[in-house]
Amino acid sequence: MRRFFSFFQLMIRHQKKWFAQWHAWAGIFAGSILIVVSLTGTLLVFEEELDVWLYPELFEFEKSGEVMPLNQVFHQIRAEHPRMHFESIFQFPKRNGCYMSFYEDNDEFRQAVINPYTAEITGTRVYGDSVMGFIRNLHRTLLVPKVGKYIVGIASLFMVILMITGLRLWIPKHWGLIKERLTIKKGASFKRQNYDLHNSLGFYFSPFITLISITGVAITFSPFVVLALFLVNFQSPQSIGDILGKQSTYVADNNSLGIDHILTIAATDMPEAEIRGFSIPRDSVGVYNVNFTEDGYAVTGDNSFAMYDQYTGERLLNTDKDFANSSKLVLNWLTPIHYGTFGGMTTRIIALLASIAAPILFITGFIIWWGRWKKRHQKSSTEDHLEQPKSDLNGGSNKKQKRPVIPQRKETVTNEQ
Amino acid sequence: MSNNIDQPPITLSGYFFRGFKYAAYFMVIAGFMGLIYGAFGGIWLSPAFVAIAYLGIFVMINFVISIPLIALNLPFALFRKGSKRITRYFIYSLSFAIVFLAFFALLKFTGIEVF
Repeated sequence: MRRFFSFFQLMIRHQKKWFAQWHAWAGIFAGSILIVVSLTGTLLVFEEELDVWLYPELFEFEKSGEVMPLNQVFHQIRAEHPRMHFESIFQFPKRNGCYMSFYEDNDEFRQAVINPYTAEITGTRVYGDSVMGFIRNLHRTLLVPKVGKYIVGIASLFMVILMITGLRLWIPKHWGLIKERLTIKKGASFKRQNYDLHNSLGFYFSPFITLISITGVAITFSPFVVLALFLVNFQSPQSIGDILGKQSTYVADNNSLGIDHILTIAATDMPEAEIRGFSIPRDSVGVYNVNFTEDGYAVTGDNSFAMYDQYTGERLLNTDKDFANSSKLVLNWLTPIHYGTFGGMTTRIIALLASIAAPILFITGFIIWWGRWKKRHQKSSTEDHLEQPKSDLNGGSNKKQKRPVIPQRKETVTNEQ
Repeated sequence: MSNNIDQPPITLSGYFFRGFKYAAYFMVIAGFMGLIYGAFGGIWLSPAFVAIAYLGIFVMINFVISIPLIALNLPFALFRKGSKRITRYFIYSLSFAIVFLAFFALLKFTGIEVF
């Protein structure tokens, strides 16, 4: 263990300041993981568009007539495919406005893509088996079951550390040197240009990479984030299960209200809401979930939802009204900030560029570190060589030899203040 | 060569106030980062608050982690054998937590709808 640490100590020995050492440590530990995560993240910014492009047979529809209402499509597919046991249906505007319904088959969670004009199922699939599903799994878990997502989460935390310490390292000793930190010197050596590229690119993209990384950590460790949200809202902590585990009050010999009835209640309840999907109760105490967007509330996130008792139609939860302001951080802002979707195409392109910049920073950072480490390694080898007894150099004589004396420089203390 | 030979060592309260200063820097920089990201999408204020809030959440989690550490260190500290690093870490965590808790209190009690 000590050898292991001394090896890593050797790797960062050239750095004198603690934040520079942290920067080197974080880069060494998380660099390779973050290259994979960043590059897959680049593709995931346009996940839905790429999915449509890769599978045109699923998503290309002839736009004939009006788009059918969600509940009508749901009834039709359930009637036509009784074996599929559909439990939910959602609208996907970025996937050519298709509807998708989900069901379980042989312990596999499958999705059925539905033409919104005809209610015809164009295909079914396990999303993880599709190209974008594979990329998403690689991004989130590195294809390592169970612990993979925590490895990615911790690597993202290292990325935040890299950005904070990197910004501290970026600050020039004299503000006169600021131009050097913001530009790449033309005609300079490769080493210098690489250093300039690392500094300038890191500075310009630091806001975006930091925010994308910190939301990435929050996505991985969302149960802890939710608990902390209760803490900062001055409320007693509850688990996600307690919040979302609402149940209907079972009434014997009473039929469950149909989804049409629930949607009518939801429309009265939230007149300005646009319903984007719903799921039906799984058992006798399950609830109806209705997902919606409402002007003035969830402008960015599309993650607002309400829960209704299946027997009485009573609203059990409305995230827009019942959740504290800070709790909406998770629902409305977490993934939009992470994928850059909150501000339309511009912020998505920013997120894409930031995901490309991150691997460039690792490569340029590695080149800087490698050069310094090699230099330091050579220097220490020379010192060791000088300190070695002559007997060893001359073929192993056992006679005691005087070691060469390296003159010690006297430290002079000057008070600069 | 600079040195602090004539300066007295930093006291615990010194670290505490230094923590306030650093927390304020972090808050301002996080807000500025959110502001820049949001500006590209035409939304100015919300992303700035979101950035501060997310940083604040992790500051609070960090503070919770620092509590058992200082609790373990306390018996040793009574006999002057405690780790100064742990004490310093706790003091910084506490001052960061106070600053960010003030931010969350401001959001809650003023009822500002920014998210």
